[in-house]
Amino acid sequence: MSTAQYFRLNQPFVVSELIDSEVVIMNLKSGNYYSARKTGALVWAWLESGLPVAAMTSRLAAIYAGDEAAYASDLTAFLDRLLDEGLIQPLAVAAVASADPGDSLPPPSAYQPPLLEVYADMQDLLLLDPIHDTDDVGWPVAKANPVPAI
Amino acid sequence: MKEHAYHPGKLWPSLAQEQLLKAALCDGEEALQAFRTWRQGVDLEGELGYPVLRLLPLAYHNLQRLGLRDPLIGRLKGVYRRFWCENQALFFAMHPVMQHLREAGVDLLMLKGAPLVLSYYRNHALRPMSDFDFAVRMEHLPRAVELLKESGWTLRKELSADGLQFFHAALCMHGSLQVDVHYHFLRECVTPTADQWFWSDVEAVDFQGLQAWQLGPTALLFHTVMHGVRWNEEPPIRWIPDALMVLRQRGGEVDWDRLLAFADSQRLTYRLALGLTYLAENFAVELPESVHTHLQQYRPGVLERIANRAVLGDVRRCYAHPLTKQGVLFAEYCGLVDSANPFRLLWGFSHYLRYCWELRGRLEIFPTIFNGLRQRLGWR
Repeated sequence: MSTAQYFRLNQPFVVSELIDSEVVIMNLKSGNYYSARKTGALVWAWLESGLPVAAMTSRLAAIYAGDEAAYASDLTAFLDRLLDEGLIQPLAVAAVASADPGDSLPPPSAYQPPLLEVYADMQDLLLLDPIHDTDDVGWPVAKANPVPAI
Repeated sequence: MKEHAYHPGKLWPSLAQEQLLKAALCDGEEALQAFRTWRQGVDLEGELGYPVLRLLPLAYHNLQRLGLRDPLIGRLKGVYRRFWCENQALFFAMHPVMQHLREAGVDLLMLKGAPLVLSYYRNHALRPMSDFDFAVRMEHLPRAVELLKESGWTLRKELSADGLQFFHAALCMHGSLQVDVHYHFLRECVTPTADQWFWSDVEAVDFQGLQAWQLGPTALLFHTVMHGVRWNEEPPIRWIPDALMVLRQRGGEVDWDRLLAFADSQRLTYRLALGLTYLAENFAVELPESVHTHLQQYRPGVLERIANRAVLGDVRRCYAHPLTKQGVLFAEYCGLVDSANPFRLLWGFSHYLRYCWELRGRLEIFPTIFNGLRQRLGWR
């Protein structure tokens, strides 16, 4: 379990894009790609902006008015998963804060623990017909068997 | 121009493609209505084709901005995500290649998709790419090819004096990656003068921390239109959003006098006029009055008219007969030649025939014709 307070994205190997309130993340080294929605997308935006973990926990508590310890626990599990996937790296000191404090993404109305959906091989995505093999929310039909989300 | 009605779906967008282009590129109700019309007219379960597919991210992006609510939007998002991933992977794979060449002192000028993604669309999803194109100065070409070969790339066709004279790029492969290394910028512009024109209008661009070059807006607009306005089995509609991006973002910087003078000198003004007037008539591009007048009054000469027959028309039937096929080669050559002198034209064409027929020398031309006739007529 990581006890680091500061993280940065593992660039240049990790790229991400906010697509209609969902963050799509690619690890260009491993060929894996990921999806983070709702609270997961929010936390990713905060990571991009260099927000410390304690500040993220406080923000979650302020937004959803719940138990701060529970948010901290969910957050730690999510960050551990990002670390395991090589998407972020711990920092000893705070990174230079981004001009955007991660507020551009409105928080979801209800709290759900942040989730990272993992798709094991980018080639799977690229081999699919991107319009016919895609479900109504835009994910490939082949997502029936992704690695289980945390 | 009445030519815009010819070859829909081959030279110009079909009506359905035009609706999708408007959905992707227009604003407000015009875009939304165009999308609804396109949706009604297209079989979504059928084969859309790559040219249409690669337009969908731009349509998704524009329609999202306009707040469209439609069940299809999720699938468009899937296409958007797919091309975003593809381009990210392509750029990542190309970075070490570009770095290797740059460290060896090779000047790299990115062409087509990459500079448009980085400097105009500013979004990896909106301009799908299937390969990577860059230009190198002619004096850097041998070194560039040598370095690529050392890195495991193979050339589809080895460089040759003929290739440098009559063709425009070395096509290089490495696994699923393809790079077109341009030593000339267009297949119609293969002279040192034309190369110099393009190289004299370049600007720096950052490619993931590497310093490279891209064409300035004037040369980029010319390159984009010329690359697009040609008959193609797969409709070349991608040039339309590309040219609009250049015109909408940096149209004020286009040096129209320079552009027209170069087009005239290359005998490409007629095609330039076709492209620009298409944009003006369908996408409200406002051309300066002097440009409009110049294009309207332009009358192509004989060589340009012959060359355009091969570039703008459907010449597939011509390939069915040996004689008409040579007619297409002659039309192609008319697009390359820099002199209308009949003697020089025929002299040069004999070289072009030798190149196209892959002969060792022009002395083999007549025996080849004789052998062809003998086979065709059943002579022993």
